[in-house]
Amino acid sequence: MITSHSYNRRGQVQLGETTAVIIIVIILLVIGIVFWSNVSKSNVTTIITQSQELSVIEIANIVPELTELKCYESGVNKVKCLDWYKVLAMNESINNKDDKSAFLFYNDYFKNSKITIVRIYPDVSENQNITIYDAKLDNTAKKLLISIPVNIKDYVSQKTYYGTIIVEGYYNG
Amino acid sequence: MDNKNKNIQNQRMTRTSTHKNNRGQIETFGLAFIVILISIGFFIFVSFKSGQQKDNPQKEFTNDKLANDFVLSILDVSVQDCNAYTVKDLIIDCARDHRICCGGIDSSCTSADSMDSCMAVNKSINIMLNRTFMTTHTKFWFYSENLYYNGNELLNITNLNCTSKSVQGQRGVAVISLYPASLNVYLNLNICYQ
Repeated sequence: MITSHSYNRRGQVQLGETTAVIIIVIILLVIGIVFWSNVSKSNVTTIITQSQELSVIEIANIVPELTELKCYESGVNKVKCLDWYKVLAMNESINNKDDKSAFLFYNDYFKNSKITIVRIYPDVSENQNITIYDAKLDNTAKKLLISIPVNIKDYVSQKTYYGTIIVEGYYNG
Repeated sequence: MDNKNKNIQNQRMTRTSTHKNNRGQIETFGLAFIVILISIGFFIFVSFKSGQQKDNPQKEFTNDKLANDFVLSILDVSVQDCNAYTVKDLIIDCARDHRICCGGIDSSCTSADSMDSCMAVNKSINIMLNRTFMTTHTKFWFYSENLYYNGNELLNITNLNCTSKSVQGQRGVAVISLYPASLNVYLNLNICYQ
């Protein structure tokens, strides 16, 4: 009788232990899954942000290489050099309020961005910023600003300016 | 006699069983403790890995392009008060000939409103650096090699304590040949990480 009673009690204790172990394992699994899903979510967000940043960088790489803006000397193009009068002409055609065809054409290249050419040195007394393209997005979108140093050639005065191309890329982060 | 023996045997069995039960419980707790420790270690590891700084394409691109494009762009720029010359012309003159005088009407370059090529280079590069990097609070160290003025290197400009001991980002170098002299002048721009 005593032996049978002892076996019964031991069986109950072992059943309790097994149940406790199963509950602990389930809790650990649930915590693990929740934790892992959070980590994965933050990784996906980072990847999306990075790819959007890369698309802004791509725009910043396109601008100084556009034939419509580059300097040519004796038929050979100069690296990292913009022709100031080409910049003025492009500004006029893209920002023409009566004819949006140029804006729509460059929209394929510049997407949701704002591109400004700034003349910095020499003769900096005048206001020499020209925004050649502006998608005019609202201020709620995130913004990535990239500045690229370039030469800006004025073929009339024969001066070479130092300036920057400022690309502000908007994206939803 | 038989009953007495059975009782003693039963008592021994109960004692052994209780002892085994206690040992079993201690082992289970030990195992649970180890599992919990491993789990905590795993969580800490994953948190640490996910918290580590990831690649930042914008930062890499900016550091890469900015340093190289800056040192290459400034060379062809026309200098204020010395429009006939570029920065590169003045650097070569400063390192080799000392003939060019900018501003003023005094060809001997002694009047207050005139400056020699070295001073013109220093002034123009300072303006360009100031308007490009200081406004955006970028850490940088710009310095020249083989461009001496009064026995010292002409250019050694730092912003926000960026020195050779700081964590270095991208470096841009422009090489200017002083041919026929067998020397090169180097303009270096180091961008430091924040």
